[in-house]
Amino acid sequence: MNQLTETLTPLRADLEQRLAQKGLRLQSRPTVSHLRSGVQELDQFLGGGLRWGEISEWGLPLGKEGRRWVLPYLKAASQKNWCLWVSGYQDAEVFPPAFFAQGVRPERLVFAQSRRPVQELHAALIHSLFKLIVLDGSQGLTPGALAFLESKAREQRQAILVLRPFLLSNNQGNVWAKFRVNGWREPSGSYLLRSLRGLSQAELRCPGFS
Amino acid sequence: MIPQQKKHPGPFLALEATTENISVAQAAWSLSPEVMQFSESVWLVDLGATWSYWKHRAVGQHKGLAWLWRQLLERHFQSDATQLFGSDPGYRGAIAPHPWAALLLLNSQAQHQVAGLCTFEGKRGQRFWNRCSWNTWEATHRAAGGPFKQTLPKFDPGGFNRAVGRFAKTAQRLGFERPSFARSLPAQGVQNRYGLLLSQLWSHSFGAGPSQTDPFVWTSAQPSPPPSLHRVLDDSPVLWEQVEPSLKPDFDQLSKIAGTKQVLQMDWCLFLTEGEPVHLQLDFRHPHHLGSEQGHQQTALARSQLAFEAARSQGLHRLDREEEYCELPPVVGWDLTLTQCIDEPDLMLDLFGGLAEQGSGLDSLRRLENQLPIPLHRYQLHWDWQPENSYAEAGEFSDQEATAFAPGLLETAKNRPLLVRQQPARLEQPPRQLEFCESTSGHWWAASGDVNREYYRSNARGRSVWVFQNAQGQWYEQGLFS
Repeated sequence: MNQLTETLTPLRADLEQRLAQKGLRLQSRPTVSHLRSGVQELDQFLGGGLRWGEISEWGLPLGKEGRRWVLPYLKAASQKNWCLWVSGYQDAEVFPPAFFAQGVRPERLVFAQSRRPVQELHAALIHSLFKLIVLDGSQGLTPGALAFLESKAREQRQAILVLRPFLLSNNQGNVWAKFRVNGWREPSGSYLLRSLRGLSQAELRCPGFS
Repeated sequence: MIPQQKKHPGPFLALEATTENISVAQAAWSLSPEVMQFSESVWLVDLGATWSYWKHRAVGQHKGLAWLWRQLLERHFQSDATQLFGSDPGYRGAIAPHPWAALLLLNSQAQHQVAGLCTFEGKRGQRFWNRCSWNTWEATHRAAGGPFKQTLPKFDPGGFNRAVGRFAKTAQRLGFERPSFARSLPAQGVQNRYGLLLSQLWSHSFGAGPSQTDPFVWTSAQPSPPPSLHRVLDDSPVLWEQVEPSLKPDFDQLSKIAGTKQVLQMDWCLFLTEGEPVHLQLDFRHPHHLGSEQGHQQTALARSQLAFEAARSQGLHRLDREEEYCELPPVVGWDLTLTQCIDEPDLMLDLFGGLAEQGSGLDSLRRLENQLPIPLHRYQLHWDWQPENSYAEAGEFSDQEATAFAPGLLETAKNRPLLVRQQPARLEQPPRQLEFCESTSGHWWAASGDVNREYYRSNARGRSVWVFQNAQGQWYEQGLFS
């Protein structure tokens, strides 16, 4: 490694000098800090998209179609990266075609069925392969486990989404989540996302997803 | 050689070389650790043991499994001579759900002097299957005399051969030109006239369906002594953290002994300060090459840790003369033996060599799956409108098949929920607030199962539920719009 640095340093200096002669400057490649869903209003609501390296917590009751808010991010992430969807429900399992129908790439989406992913999927959660990890209905996410996941997400610039099958409240907090939201579909058919913490906008209403 | 009834479902490959001087056994062991020598020239391979691995590899190539196996076999059997002077792939192989069907298909292929690989489900395979002659059928049964004599205690080769001859003659007299024409013959009738064994074999090949008892006894062939390593420990560790530092260099050492072999199952025999040695079985979901993790051995150590911790917590070890269970006593040494391996030579690795998969993450995913106590799943679409059959594990079917139907399947899936019940739950009362979703027609040609279903979204009680009514008017809840 040292040898490589020794070789590259003079090359870099030389390049910088040549660029300076032409009035240019060497800039490192800008790192993308957000994952954008392609749904403009949603990205704006989350402050530019889903930030890499962070945990977010979503209260999405079952039977209320709130997971539609998450799928655009899964779709966007799966175009280039591997994604992991962990389902923790005992009597229900994922129906993959419904994910694929929303544009998620089958080749890049891995599913696991686990109620206690921190124990059973430890190696997968800390692996750099998965850039987007969704923990749906997981149990055993103690503050300690969330702190550990947060540090790993930050280190590996992963986005971890913790989906709860109930509406979140401010009574029980989660200090490790950068933002906390509740989402559902109203009887009128429009989708609603309500912020509890970490976002500047209080509410987002969307008539539907294309 | 350990005779045993087969437990996993296969499929099975019957394989023989059509050119001399090429080892069929080596080709067989490159595909699966479960191999049986049926006759001098014919080998059987149980592909079920490595099924998920080959599926992964096929997905990496965007091809089907049959294509992948064909490529691997051709690489192995094609000598310089066959490459230069002819189109003979150098081998003949047949894949079928049962070893007996694979053997019959192989012999039918040989009868038509055709080389290469065919599968039972494929068009080519079905052609050979339907054209299998009584002569071929008889010859296959006679060839089975040797293996059956070894494995079935009361087997009478003379009587069996006579029964086979009589059966073929009678069937031909009845107008059944070929075995495939005689599918309608009842198993009970065949058993009464020609014996139980012949009737069971008939059921597993041309008969109406597999019999409950499988007469085919699998005799696993073992390659020369399996790679193993013995270790005596200076200290007596109790905890995993104490065991790991000594185990890591042993895996490195074992990888050198194993060479190109990839392990599927390893026996870790622990010698303890007291009591009998404890055997821990380390199972790998995909063949794992120890040499690829020299220095860290992350995968092998992850599997060892799972087994070691399980042994400690479940109290596998029981003290002599005492009924109570306790944790493992200190470990004083161990034996590591690679009990199941495949030997995929470099030649084959060159073909796929990770090159096409490099950067795709599939290799990382395979390693990861080997380290986890629970499986990971990837899925693909499958051309079937019934929700439960509209997808399959990735690699089960060729990409082309899924792609052809993808637009229609995806459009349908837009109105289907993300979460479904493992089994639809019967509803006593008809659901309320229904919104029609789709009408699905099932497999009308199949004997069982619902044929027509009307799907609705029920919005009663503040939840959006996916329900259906079958042709008998019964209501079921199948999913949850989440």
